[in-house]
Amino acid sequence: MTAPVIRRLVATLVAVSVAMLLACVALVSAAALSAFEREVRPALEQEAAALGGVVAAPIETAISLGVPLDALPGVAAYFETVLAGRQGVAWLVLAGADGTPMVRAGPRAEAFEPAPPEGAAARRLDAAYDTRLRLGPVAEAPRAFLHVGMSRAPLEAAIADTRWDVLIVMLVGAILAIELLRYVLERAVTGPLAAADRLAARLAAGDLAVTADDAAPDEAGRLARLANALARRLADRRARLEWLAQEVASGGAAAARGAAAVLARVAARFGMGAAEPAMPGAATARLPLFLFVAAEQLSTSFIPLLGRDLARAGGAADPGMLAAVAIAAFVTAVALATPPGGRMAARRGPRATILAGGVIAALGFLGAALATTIWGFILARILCGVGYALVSIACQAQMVAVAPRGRLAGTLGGFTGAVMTGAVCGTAIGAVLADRIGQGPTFLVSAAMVGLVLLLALRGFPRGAPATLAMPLGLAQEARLALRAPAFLALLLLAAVPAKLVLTGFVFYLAPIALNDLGLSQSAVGRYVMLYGFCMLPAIALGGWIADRTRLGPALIWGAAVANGIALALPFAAPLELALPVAIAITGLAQGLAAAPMLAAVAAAARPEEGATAPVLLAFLRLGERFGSMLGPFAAAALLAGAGMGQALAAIGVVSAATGVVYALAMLLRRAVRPAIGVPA
Amino acid sequence: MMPASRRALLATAGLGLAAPALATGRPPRILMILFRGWEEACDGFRDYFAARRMPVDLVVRDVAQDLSRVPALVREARTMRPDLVYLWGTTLTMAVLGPWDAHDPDRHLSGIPAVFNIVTDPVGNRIVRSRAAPGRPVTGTEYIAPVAVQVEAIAAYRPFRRIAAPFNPLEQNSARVVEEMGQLLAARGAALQKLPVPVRADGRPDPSAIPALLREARAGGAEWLYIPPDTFLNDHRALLTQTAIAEGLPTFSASERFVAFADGLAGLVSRYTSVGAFTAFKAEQILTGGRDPGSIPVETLTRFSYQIRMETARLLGAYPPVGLLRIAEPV
Amino acid sequence: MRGSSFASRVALLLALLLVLACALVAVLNYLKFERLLVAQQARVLGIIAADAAEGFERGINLGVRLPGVPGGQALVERALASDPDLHRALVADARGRILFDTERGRIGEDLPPALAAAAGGAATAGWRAAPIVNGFGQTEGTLLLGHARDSIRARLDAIALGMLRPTLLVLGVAVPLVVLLTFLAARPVRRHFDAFGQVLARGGGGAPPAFAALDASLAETEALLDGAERDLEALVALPPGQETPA
Repeated sequence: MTAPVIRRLVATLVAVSVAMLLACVALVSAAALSAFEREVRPALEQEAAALGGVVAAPIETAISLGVPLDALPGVAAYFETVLAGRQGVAWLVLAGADGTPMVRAGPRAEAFEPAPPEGAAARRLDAAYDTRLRLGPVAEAPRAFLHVGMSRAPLEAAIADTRWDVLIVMLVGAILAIELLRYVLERAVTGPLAAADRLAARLAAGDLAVTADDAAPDEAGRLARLANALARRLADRRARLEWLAQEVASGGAAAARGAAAVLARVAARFGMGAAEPAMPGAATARLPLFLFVAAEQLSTSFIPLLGRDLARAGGAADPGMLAAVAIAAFVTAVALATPPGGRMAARRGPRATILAGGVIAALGFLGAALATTIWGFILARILCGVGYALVSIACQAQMVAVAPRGRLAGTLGGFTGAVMTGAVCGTAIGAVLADRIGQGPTFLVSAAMVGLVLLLALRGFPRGAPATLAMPLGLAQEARLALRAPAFLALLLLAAVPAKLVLTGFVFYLAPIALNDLGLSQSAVGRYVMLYGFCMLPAIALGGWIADRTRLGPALIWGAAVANGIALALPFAAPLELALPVAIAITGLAQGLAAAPMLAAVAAAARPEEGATAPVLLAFLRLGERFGSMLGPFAAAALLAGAGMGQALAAIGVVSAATGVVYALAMLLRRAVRPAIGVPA
Repeated sequence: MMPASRRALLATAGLGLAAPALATGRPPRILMILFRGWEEACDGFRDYFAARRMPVDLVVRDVAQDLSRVPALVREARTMRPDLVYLWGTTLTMAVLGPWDAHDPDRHLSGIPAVFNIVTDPVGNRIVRSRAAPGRPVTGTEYIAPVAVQVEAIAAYRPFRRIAAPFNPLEQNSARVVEEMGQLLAARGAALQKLPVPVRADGRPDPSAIPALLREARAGGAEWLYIPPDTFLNDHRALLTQTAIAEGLPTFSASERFVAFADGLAGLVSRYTSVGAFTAFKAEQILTGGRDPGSIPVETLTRFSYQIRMETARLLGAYPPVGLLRIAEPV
Repeated sequence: MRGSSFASRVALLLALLLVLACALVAVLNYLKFERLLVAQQARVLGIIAADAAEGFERGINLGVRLPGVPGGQALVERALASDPDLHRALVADARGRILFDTERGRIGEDLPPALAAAAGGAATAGWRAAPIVNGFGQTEGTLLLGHARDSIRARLDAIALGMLRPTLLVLGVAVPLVVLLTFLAARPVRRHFDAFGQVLARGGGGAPPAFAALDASLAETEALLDGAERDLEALVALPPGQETPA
């Protein structure tokens, strides 16, 4: 009923904030870059002068020995020797006393423009900054000139890299703005309006026992106070009626009967309902979840690199395998901590769980920042994994508990959305941070973000355990139930687990290492790894749409796996620097497309009559996926050590494609077999 | 220029005063046997220890170009038992040590480690078995740049297809170098024109034949004239180099005598003092490092002095390339 | 509309976000630029150091030991003069004794431990080392260049200033603008709150269509209470014995 106004508000605020953000960031960045260009030019000219002095020395010697300039042999070869292996020099030009170029050398030599001798010694040409040195005895007129051109190409490359980073800040800033707006508006507008609405409806229905939280100083508080005042007024009037009735009743039995009839008429309408406690909306849990996932994913693009370096520093024989242990340890910790986390959320409530998880994760991040050995790092990652499990279970429980009836799927979609956007933002901005301030300090930023999450949880999460949460089943029980659904098993082993294997083995382990070994900066590595989440998000929506409207859902599952496998073969066809980002993007697309159909397939595979309900299967699916995630880095590390990067990628691709094909065959077989044994389709 | 003997005296005196008394043991004693007196190579040898602040006790003996004094010195060495023996020059070293495979313990020095300085072709002269493995407790330095390095140095100045090399056929060293050069050039696809100096009836080479040789070189289309380390040519270096200029032939030699003290165009030379220091470096490895001399290879310097005579370059119109001027030593 | 509003919270949040984003971009750019400038200075120092060391090596090639290189002092003085960021240039022998130094009083002393480490190859902040190798590959000594980061710092300060003014300008325009736009966008919702409040306050007057149902419902309740009150009052006013009013 109030939706259109609020929707317009949200849309306007989002548009305003994103537009202002982009504009401000763009302007500030442009100012920064132009300031840098102004300052870097004299530095480059100084470098040119230093180099020129060194290069000119033998030419000066020749001149002083009386060698005529036009008879001076080997100048071009000499310039080439100087330029070999030296980056950033566009040209070396020897010019005569009148300024005409005699010898040119260098990658951009043809772009050199001659200058008259009386001109300025330093010029800014298109391709380079040109600095001119005079050659010859100091007291006389110059006999020749040496021009050193400092290329602007390395400068421009650095600036281009910075521009990418600024784009990342814009993207992350925009997403953060949306999440923050969602949070604040939920708490200040949508939530209070909905609560006031409910309260007013109950008042109108006769339930006068309700009160609203009127502590806020803004409109919501004022509204709540008005509602409370109305409730009090109505209650007062009711009380007055009862007093009047007593007065009447004192006038005799007949009057008392009349009064009672009046009261009965009123009582029919006014009942005593149960007070509905104020419930925070789902956004209360979404923002902390988003921030926490982002904090965890800050380090995604460099964990295998850091692990490898720590292992090497410790003298390990197989640094790659130990780096894989770091990733697998995290995933294992998450998997093992999830069931106890669920029990804790059911018993002690989401607030206690998220607080515990946040503290443990913060300790883990601090440990990761300070780790000096690979084993310390692995221990820290285990703590982070436990924290991650607790926090995400707590947020999920909170969102489920406050979800409006019948909108559970949408709420859970919001959960996944928060996780994915948090992952995208975290990966990208974390890489930029690590590039600037280092990998250890980036973990400290993660810890600080977790502190913020704890503050939000303290403020926003209600105490106590909501009644609607069911106690999760034990692992063995889940497994027994899951095994009763063969279609589910096929899905798990042939689709879900290989997908996670590809994710952790390729995107989280091999790709950062390969990109780093190509010489890319940390920011660039993060950008490429981020492509996974970036492509996955729209693909999830698309996959859901296709699954809902067409019958292509199951085909998407194995089709995506095969496409994923083919993508991993790209490095054989194209240079690695191009093939890797494309492969990462295709992986994201493929796994995104298959996500919704997979959930639908799980629901379809459920056998509620045997206890294997959809939620149970889903929980087991998650567990299986964690197992695949744990296996991925090990497999990748072993392949990398044994066969090299290209073969490792291809092997993982083959696994993905092969399991996809087998799954397709299994489905085909099942369809063929099903009519024969009379199982309803 | 003070007489060699007085310099030698001062050298030992100076070192003796400078050497502090060591608490543990005395400074190592080195017996230096010289051929023609104390000169820059010995300066380099002595100065190395001074710069490293390593006290040594130098005992100097000079045969003054008379090899008949060698046996007496060998006997003295046996009695003195120095920690190391230093030998100057190819002839002296061969006389004192004998061939590595035909060593006579009575005549030749044995049982004491030795280093040799300013020696040419120790392998060919059978002082050591090979440069990498001397085959006896003897090591040292060569002062002539390897022929291959010389060929590269010539090409760095100006590429060539044909080189002419005059030499005294009676000097084995010289002939061997020319032979080696011929092989190296053939491997590069270039040609070597050998020009042995005709020998007179009295068994000595004829200096008046030099101009004719150079004309022959020019007629043969030689682009460079290579001068091997050759005593006869050294004695007539002025005539040789000036005639070469007249014939328009750039000259290259491995000895600074032809460039710095004549009119040769270019040369890749070892400074005697640097060679002496290098020899001292090897001596240090034996004395303080405790290494067996037979395990220390015989080496030349890694960096040589590229000398270029600019006046000759101007006369010939053959200026050195700029890249070479960076490292070259204009003379 | 009076009193504080949710709009101020939102406006504050958006303003903080803008400030944070601009600060982040400025800091990221600054750190990148610092790295580029430091790398560039290292390149220049490398050129100067290599050239000076080569000068000493050429001297050694002439046949003298490092302490006796002719013009050695002039070489270090010239190296010092070739870059304004250099504050000291010196040459020490392999044992760590200073042979040539632009700080002439130090000639003859031993290198302090920090410089000895730099000469040994350890990366030391503020010092650039180049070995001086003699003709047979032995390191006879090391050339050390002491450099300050003055010019880098001056350049970075200029860059920071060059970034600060436009940033403040941009924020000075953007923050008030975003606050204004937020309040403008919030007006319909504040009116909505107000209308809701009016309905709850039973202030009378027509209720907007959004609250018509609620208004009617509350009016119903009030009417019921009114009716009951009237009836009871009538009962009170009855003379005793009468059950229903006339």
